Amino acid sequence: MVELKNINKSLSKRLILDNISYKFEYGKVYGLCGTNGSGKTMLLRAICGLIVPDSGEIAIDGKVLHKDISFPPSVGIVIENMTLLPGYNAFDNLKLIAQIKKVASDDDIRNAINRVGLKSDLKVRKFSLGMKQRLNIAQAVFEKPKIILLDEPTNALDDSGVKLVYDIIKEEKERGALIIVATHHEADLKEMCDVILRVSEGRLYEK
Amino acid sequence: MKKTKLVSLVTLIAAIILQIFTFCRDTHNSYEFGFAIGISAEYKTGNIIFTLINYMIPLIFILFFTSGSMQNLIQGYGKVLLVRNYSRTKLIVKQLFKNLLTLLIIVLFQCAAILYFNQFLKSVKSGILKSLIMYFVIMSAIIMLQCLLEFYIPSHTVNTVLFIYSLVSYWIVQVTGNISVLKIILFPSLMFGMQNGALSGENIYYLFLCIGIILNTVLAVLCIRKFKKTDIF
Repeated sequence: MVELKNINKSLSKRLILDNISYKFEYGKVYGLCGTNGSGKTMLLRAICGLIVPDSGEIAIDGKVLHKDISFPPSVGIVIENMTLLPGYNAFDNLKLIAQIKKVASDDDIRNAINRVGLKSDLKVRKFSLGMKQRLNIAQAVFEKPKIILLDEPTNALDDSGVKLVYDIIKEEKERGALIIVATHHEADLKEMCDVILRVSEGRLYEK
Repeated sequence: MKKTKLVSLVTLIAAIILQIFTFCRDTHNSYEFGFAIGISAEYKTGNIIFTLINYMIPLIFILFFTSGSMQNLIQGYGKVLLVRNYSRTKLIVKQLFKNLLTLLIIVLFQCAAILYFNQFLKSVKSGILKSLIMYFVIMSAIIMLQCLLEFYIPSHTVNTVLFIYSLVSYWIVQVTGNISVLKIILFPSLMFGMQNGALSGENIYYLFLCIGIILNTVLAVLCIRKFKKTDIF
């Protein structure tokens, strides 16, 4: 379980996250909707440990982030500005990342790349925006993480890509992962989420 | 212009060749060799800033070449590694080391190019190695400072600030004379052998060398400490 307790975060004197408390459970897909700048992405960054809240606590399976652990033990993310190494092909990019945790085999990497409809041997610099986004999604799921955080996962994707994202989210949910998807396209969320939450001016509301 | 490795490399090589041609065409004998430049009496009036810019040409491109490395850790690829519990210290130390390696290759290329054209230059045989080492140490301190400043201000502003700081430092030290404290405060001026004692064989060279190494270490430690506390976006 991921538990947020009274999370506050300010940037340049502007309150980005305002007293957010919520419990996210495994095996469910949560959708965060809200306008640009409402705080969706910042909330995802806080959950995966990339930003440190000014106050409040984030607990992952009872362990407090930035106190007991620096980052969630098992997390996959797609967050903006995630261009992988352009000089490497899709397989080598994921292989390089896989060397950190050593939980994914070469077959896992190939499966993930096939799953998003890409070729392993093409260099990332030759990828279109949509292909880069597909590779980012593969990067988020190839280690079978317990928590998956997806920020605007359907960005730059064509219709087949969007369907693919829906399918992957469904499969990962069935595997028991906790998935949080942030987007300003509410239609996307209705399609794939169990719970939809609205983020507005840094506050979280259940719809 | 989009910063790519190829664009950076081509502009850097062009800059170094341009600088060497400037030395070759100089009729005032105001240079010694690339890393040991000094300004003759005639240059102390009139176009001094223009002359200094000639000497500092490679710095512009080296700063351009290494700029954005911290920004990439904070806003780009770094987050993919960090969320997998990759050590922040390891990540930034690797990046700083990569910057130093890049600088080393550039400086060795500069050195090779200068030595190739050496027959056209009024060369000073003694002190070449000392000048080269000091040039690298001070240039690396400037790059460390560039990395540290990138945590606070945008990289293009950092580059401009550092170039002006280096230019003004060299100019002030040139006109104020041999004041060690001033040279330390305005440390980019120590890049060149005429300022750091590499050519005159003074013991002060080793003092400045130690200060350069300490400066590098302090700036690297500050970068690591800052990165550990920085939010990743």
